Amino acid sequence: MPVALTAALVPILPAAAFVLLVVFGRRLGERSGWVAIGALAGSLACAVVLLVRALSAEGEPVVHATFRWATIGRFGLDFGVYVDGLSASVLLMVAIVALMVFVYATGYMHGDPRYPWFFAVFSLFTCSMFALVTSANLLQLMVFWEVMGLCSYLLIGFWFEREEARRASIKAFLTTRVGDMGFLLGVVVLLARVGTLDIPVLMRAGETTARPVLLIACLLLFCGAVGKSAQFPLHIWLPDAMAGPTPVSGLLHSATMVAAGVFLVARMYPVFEVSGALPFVAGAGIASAVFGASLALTETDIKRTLAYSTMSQLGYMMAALGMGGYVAAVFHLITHGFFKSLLFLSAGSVIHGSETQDVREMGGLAKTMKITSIVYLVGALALAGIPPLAGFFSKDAILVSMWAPDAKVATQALGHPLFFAALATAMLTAFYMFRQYFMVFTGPEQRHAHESPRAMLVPMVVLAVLTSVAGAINLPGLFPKLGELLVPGEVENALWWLMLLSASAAATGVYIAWEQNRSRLEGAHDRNGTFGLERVYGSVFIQPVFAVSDFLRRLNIDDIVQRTVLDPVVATSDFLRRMDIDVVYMAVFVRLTSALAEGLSRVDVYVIDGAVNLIGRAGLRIAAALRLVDIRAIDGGVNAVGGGTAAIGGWLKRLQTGVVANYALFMLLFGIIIFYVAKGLAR
Amino acid sequence: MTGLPALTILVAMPLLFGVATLLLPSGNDRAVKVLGIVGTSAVFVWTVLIMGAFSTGAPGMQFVEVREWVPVIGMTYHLGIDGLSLPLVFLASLLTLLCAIYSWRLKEQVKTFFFLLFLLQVGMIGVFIALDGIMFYVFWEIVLVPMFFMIGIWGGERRRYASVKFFIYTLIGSVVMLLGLMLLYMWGPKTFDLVEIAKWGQAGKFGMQQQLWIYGCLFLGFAVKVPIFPFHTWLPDAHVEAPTVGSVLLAGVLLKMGGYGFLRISLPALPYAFKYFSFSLGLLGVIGIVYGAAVALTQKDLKKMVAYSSVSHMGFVVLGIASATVAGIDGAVMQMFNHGIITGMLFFLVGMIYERYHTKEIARLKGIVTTIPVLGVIVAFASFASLGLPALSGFVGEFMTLFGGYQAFGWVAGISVIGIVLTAAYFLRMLQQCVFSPPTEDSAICEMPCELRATEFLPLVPLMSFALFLGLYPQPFLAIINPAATALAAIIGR
Amino acid sequence: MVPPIAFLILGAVVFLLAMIGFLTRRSLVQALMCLELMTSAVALTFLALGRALGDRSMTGMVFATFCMVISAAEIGMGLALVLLYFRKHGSTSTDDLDLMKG
Repeated sequence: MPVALTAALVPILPAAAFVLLVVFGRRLGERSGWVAIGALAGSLACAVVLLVRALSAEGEPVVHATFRWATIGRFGLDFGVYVDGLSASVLLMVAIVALMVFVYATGYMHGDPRYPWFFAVFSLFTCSMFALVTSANLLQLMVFWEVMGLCSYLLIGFWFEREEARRASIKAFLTTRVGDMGFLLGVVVLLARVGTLDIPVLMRAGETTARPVLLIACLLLFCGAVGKSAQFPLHIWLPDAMAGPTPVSGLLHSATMVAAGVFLVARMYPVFEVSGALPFVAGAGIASAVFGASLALTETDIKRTLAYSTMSQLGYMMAALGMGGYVAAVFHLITHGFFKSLLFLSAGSVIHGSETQDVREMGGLAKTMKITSIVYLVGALALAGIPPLAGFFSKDAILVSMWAPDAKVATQALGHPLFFAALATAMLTAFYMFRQYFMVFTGPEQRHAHESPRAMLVPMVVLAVLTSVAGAINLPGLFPKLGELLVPGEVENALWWLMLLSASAAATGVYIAWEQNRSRLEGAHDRNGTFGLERVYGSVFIQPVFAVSDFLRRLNIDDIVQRTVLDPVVATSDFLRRMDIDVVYMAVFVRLTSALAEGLSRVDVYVIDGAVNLIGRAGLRIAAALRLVDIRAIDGGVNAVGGGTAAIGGWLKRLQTGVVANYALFMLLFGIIIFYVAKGLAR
Repeated sequence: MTGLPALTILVAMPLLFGVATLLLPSGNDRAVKVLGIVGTSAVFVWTVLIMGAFSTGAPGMQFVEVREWVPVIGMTYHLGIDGLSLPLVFLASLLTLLCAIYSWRLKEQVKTFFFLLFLLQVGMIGVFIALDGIMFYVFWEIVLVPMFFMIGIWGGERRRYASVKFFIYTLIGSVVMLLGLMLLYMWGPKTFDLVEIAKWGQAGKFGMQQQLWIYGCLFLGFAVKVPIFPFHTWLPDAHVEAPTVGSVLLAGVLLKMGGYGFLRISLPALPYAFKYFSFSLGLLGVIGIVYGAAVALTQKDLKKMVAYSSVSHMGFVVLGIASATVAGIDGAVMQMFNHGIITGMLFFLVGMIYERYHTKEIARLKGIVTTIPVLGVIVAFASFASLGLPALSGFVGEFMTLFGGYQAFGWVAGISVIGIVLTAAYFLRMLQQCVFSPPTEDSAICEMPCELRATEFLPLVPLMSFALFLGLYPQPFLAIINPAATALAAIIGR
Repeated sequence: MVPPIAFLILGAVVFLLAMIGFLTRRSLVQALMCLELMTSAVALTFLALGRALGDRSMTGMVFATFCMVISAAEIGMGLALVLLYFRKHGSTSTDDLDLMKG
């Protein structure tokens, strides 16, 4: 099979599934899910082939095949497929995650009356992401970008009987569309000034085009990315998007929709690099990272917390791109795709099992939902950045890129503040994830729950495995495969002290969460009861200690071992406890940040949403005023013309006697007048 | 078909069918309808044949028929077709055919209706193929009469007001336009042959002042028809009161006559004036885009909303024409075609909704997709096509006109994106309210057999296919327009 | 040889008389007759001018023939209308014919 066909098949197969399901969906019933999955599996196979080719291509594009889509005078727009290391790696990630989410959805959506329609739109959604990633033309990319927006509208509003789903779908579509208008203008500027939209040619636009033009174009393109990737201040649609079915969130927040924005910047990276737009990207990114994490602190809805964490993680990627950490950003994009979809799917499983989304109403689910709790833990650890899970390596790579930014795009003076902000955010992330984890899975049971069906569990487990091992694709210094694929010949150095620092930041976050959870439970329960080991799936730093101690206690060997090995540890922790470290933490760090977050969330609600509403209302007012203008002024003028005509007509009608002879007389008179006038004119 | 006078046949066919309709015995509505559908189909097939024989690469006129007619006043019998007119002729014959199919269930004055439909088609096709000023004007006026009667006879409650308003408005416009045409004759080559006039104009033989005056006269006629802000107020009234078929043809074809006039007469004959007013015209286009969308946002009547969306969408056409770049002109023709397809579809849909719910009030319509799933889905499809979703045809025209506008006017053209966002807003608001929200107690009730009939569904199919196909792969279509657009842009030097 | 001016004067006189008749007569039939007379006067003028200008293509004659054809058609239509009107209203006075009054 020619490689161009392989690349084309990746989006075509799900598109075919879409058509098939739209036409025959009703007849297929619940089998339609498997049609979609079959198509997707084909795409996955093609993606694997492409990646294998890309690995041996040494930086050259694997495929670049186009056809003429439109000719506009001297401008030609060629659409087609363009696959290089970047697209191949992202493609594979999307294909894997999508496949898993599809399988999961067969379980989750079981029994829904619009089951085939769901899979049809879901296929189109995936198809557009594939087509976006393999686009050979920026306009083509934009076309599928928007198709994806349409699909997100349809999927978020899938349960359109619910008011909030309808609202959320409109909010998502409109907010991203505001950003997309920037994208559209950026495309227009690029086409007008560079003269082409072919992505490989555009990447070298810096050689031919003035920098200010590129700066404007890149900032406009970035507007689109801000909207799609839910960056500050266009993030407001993201939490509401949770109104859709959970598999939608799982895909939308990991591999498709939000990933598209980061992908766009990565795709156009050479242009961004030349244009000088990257500091803006970095600024918006880090603002979103901090802001998103802070918002997540105050959230009690399990899915909305994850949504804000998505915003925060995408901010990381943007910031990394802005600091020249191209490989790091793509790396994080890939690992994030795995662990975030995992988290959403398991959150869906939790909701499915416990029938609530509020973490305060959950608790002790680890007992009834064993597998879910384990995979959720894996996901949370990865998100928190605990080694050796995938999230750790990619987050570490981002931190490295900030500590030692690419000299071409940024200075250390810019990088270091970003670095510390990112580090603090990492700690916050670990904190809120584990606070959530403890509240959901540990503690006393608050309501009856049941484990999810196998169709949902299997994909979760697969994703958990991937989350655990995906870090291996780019081990700094040891196995930098992804880096070689994306930027051949560039060697990344590993900063070991930084790894340690980021890991301990994450661990601190987990520890705080743990302590906070403990003190929360103390209010209601016996102090010892909360130490029951079976309840603690928590922090990897504390667990081993107690695991060992429990093991030893069960074996009942010796007090000596206990005294020599464990007592010092316990004593230290006792000492720490007496120092009331946790209280200090709570007071200084957590309270402060939650207050801050509370404030920010107010900002979100009152200032940004308020501003949006204000603009909306003002728009409506202006529009109403315009309508009045329409009716009074313009129509009035026309009606005056009409009225005047009628008045003149009323006067003139008296001449209309109806008697033929009178008419003839008039004809005669006017004939004479016209004769003389014509004669006069002729002279 | 080389030996045949293809275009004469094209314009004579509907005329003959119209006369034949009158000759049928009254009372036999069915026969009239069959003849109507057969006749419009025949015209459509003939158009398709012409399209097939049209050679896409050539820039000039094709199928030209030129004869002396009334040499005393410089009138010739001159017909021809090129990349600008072919899509619009196709649009006219397609939409008329679909309207004939849709009218299968018409009950009142069937014979008159189909006669007027054929007469309308004569005018619509004639305007796009006439290459003589007088013929152009005559066809232009022929269109007015059937439309006046369509609104006046089959219209809504305020039909008399609307039809008279429509008539006065466009008549004033076209009378001034006639003055412009006569000035072209008098100050020009003493012939009404538009090709000769264009040659004269491009040789720079019109004085600058002369050009500005003539341009002004022609502008008024075309601007009312398009309609360009602030000459648009007849449109919502006419649309709201017009019967479905009238609205479809009004929005689908009649509005395009204005845009076509700019491209066929103003631009080639008056390059200096065109350039002189280019920015103002573009600005009016941009204002129209934003303004139309903003006013549409406040509408409570579904049909009025669609009507104002027309103002907004035709703004893109104006922007593209004003830019006088290849992209702009390409895009303007594309947008005219797409607007015809998509807005035609929307008006059909509004008609179907009104027939079932007996209201066009957005607030009272609810849950269409649960009661009539097919209709709801198609409404959503048409809305997305209209709000310029890429991969559907509306986007292609908008993108190209925007691109052309940017090339010519820079950032002023960029303002129009506000209109695009607003368009999305009002269509989504409408979808949320009318299509997706569940029905409540006080919402209107579907009072007919709710499924779509074949004669209703059938006209939608080609429209949807075009909206999809042109969005996915516009090249074959652009290849038709491109040579003509390139030639036009070269006149202005862009 | 009668000078052409004589024909022209004759034509003008006949036309004038017919016009006065048309403006003053009350009967429709008489009005129609006056109309005929006017057309004939015009035809006469055409012929006279044609001859005087020595026109080879016989435009004058052609137009005179036109006039005759038109007046024949006109009288046919006109008389039929008058007849119908008389049957319906029992009068042919132009004073009663004022349905078009504004």
